[in-house]
Amino acid sequence: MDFLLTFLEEATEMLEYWEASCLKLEDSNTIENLNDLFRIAHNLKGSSKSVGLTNYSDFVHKLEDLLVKAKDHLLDTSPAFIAILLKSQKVLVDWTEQLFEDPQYCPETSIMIEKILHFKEQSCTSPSFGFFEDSDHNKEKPHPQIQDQTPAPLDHKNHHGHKGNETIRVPLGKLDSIIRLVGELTIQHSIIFAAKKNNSFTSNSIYEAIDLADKIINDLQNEAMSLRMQPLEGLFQRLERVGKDLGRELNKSIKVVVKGESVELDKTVIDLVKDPLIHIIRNAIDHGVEPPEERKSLNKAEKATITIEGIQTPTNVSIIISDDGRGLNRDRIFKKAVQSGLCNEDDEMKDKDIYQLIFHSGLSTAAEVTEVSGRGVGMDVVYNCVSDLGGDIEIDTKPGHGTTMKISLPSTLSVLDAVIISLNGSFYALPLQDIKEIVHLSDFQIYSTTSSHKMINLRDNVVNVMALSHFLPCEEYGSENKDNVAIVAKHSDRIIAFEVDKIAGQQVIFIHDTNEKLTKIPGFSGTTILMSGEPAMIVNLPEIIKSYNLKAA
Amino acid sequence: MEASIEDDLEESNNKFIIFQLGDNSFAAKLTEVREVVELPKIKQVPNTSTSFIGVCNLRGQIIGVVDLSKKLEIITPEFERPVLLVLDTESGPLSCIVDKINSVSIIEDNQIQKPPKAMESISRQYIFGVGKLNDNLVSLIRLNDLLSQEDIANIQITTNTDLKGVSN
Repeated sequence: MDFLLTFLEEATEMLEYWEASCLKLEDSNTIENLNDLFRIAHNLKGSSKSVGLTNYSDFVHKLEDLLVKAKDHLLDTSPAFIAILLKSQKVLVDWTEQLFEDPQYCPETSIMIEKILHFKEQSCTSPSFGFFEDSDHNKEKPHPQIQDQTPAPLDHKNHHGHKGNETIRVPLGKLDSIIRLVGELTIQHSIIFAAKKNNSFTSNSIYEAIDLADKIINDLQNEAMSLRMQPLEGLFQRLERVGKDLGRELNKSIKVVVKGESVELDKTVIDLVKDPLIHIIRNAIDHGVEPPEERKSLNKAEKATITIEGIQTPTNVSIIISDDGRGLNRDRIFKKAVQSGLCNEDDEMKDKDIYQLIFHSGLSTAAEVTEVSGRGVGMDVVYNCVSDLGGDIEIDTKPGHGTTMKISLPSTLSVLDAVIISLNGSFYALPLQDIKEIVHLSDFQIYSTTSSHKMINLRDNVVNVMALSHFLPCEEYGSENKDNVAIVAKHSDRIIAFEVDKIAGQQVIFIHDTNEKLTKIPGFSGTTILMSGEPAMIVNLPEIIKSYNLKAA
Repeated sequence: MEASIEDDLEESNNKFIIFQLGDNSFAAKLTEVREVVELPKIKQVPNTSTSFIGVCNLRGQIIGVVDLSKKLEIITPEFERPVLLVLDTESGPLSCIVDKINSVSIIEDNQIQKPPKAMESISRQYIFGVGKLNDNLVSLIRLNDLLSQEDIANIQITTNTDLKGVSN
């Protein structure tokens, strides 16, 4: 059984390389790329045979034959050729996934094999033979595929799938580093432990050992946290694949530009954000990108460009997906929103806010709901998924020029830089990334319109001052000296200064795995344990500002 | 008399932990309860329901604490020797405060009766029977279900400030 599992994991990886090689071949038709593909097929054929998967091996064998013919220049590596390779890859990926659950699984491959053989029998002069001309076969194959791709993947909780024992690839250097650090820590530990045995806590060596241990533990912590980080490369490749496949299916000419793929992100975040991003790409190509004739008539390049970019900032990672298609139609969205009761006809809304409306469920302005997207339930799931991860989505669009979606995500899920504040005798953690600045209210003149509405002038911005305790009501534990400080936070154009009692310090906190219900309490995003051992709630400032927006509007 | 393995297995299905809430005695299936601990320091949390007391740190894990009396709508006097019952529910670990633990006892099926019709409908959801134990009556309670239903969160964030006619 172990052999099978090892093979399946290896196969999953090899199939990823296969996909990458196909995409490379599509861009540059070289013998090296063909050789890569052949090598992968050859390996896959051999290893699957050795674990007893004869049907699997036979299937790959057919592909290997196809590749041999292509290598010998007996076949044209046309788009149809690439398409068949990619389609086969998908069949194999599904097959491999199913084998994790059911080692006896074997799908119906005769149609696919027939196509492959048919293709192989042709000589190099007819580029679109076989695959595209079989219009009947063609019609039935793509649609089932589209169907099983749309509804299910959007359930973002469904990311575990079958792999109970998930594995992750880690650079050997990181592992060696950690092993080395643990070794050093053991040495310091024995010094400290010996001192305890001999009851001699005052020698120099023990102080040195404690200091050194402190430093080593710090390094160890950093290295350990970085183990879960993976480059975005794999994710982007998947997105590229989805984009190109869809482009082919819809007869739209697509070019995908990928940047910043070496930026790293926590593996779990990558797994969870994959489906929302796929949905965004599909939307872009289905609705955003115009068909080639339309583009030509608009004097745009016939090949539409989809850009996928990863950017690293000190606190988080941004993934930007942009297209040079039609852009969003502001008026249509507004009309639909009024229809759905999300806003009123005479509401004065900024363009930016109108575009954010597409994240409400039931709001699809696609003229016809296509099989692929436009059911109106996609974008809200995307939004929820991203915000559950502690991230955010911004939209920028220019009618006729295209749309850009910027998704910002926290780099890791488990650790956060936080400012600890005290409010009514209790401590709370405020994530540093949500805080714009901290101000002493005594440095400002406070203007008030009513007794409860206060404002300050912060560098020419009028900022509302509100007591954080209004949003987090708790019994007052006597009014100790309040320091008169406020935390300034911003969320989508609204800036609020939240008054708190004291700033107790700054610390790196671990977001503890805890009962799900504790993460759903209004105003909070989770729990943590402070250095003192005391449990503390992590405040969700963006959520609080959002709710304030809703009330004030 | 040797006890066979089958006997043991059968018994564990009828093993209950008997605890007090004021004058009321309750019995919960032993298998539902992960552990029983001394009451730790509990930290209040804003925006939570009245039956949610707060959170505590149990060996590095943060566990929510539910007030069982409030949940069952029983009025009880101040607890004498309060103790925490920790359970593993579907959404994660959760705990409840009880007055004191009396014992761990076996209540055989023939000592269990259906709950009286007069019982409050809320309690009826979780009280699945009345058991006889040493001349006392104990209410058999499904703790896991009860705690899993606990909503913890208290409506939307409300602000008390007057915002009439102000836009930013």
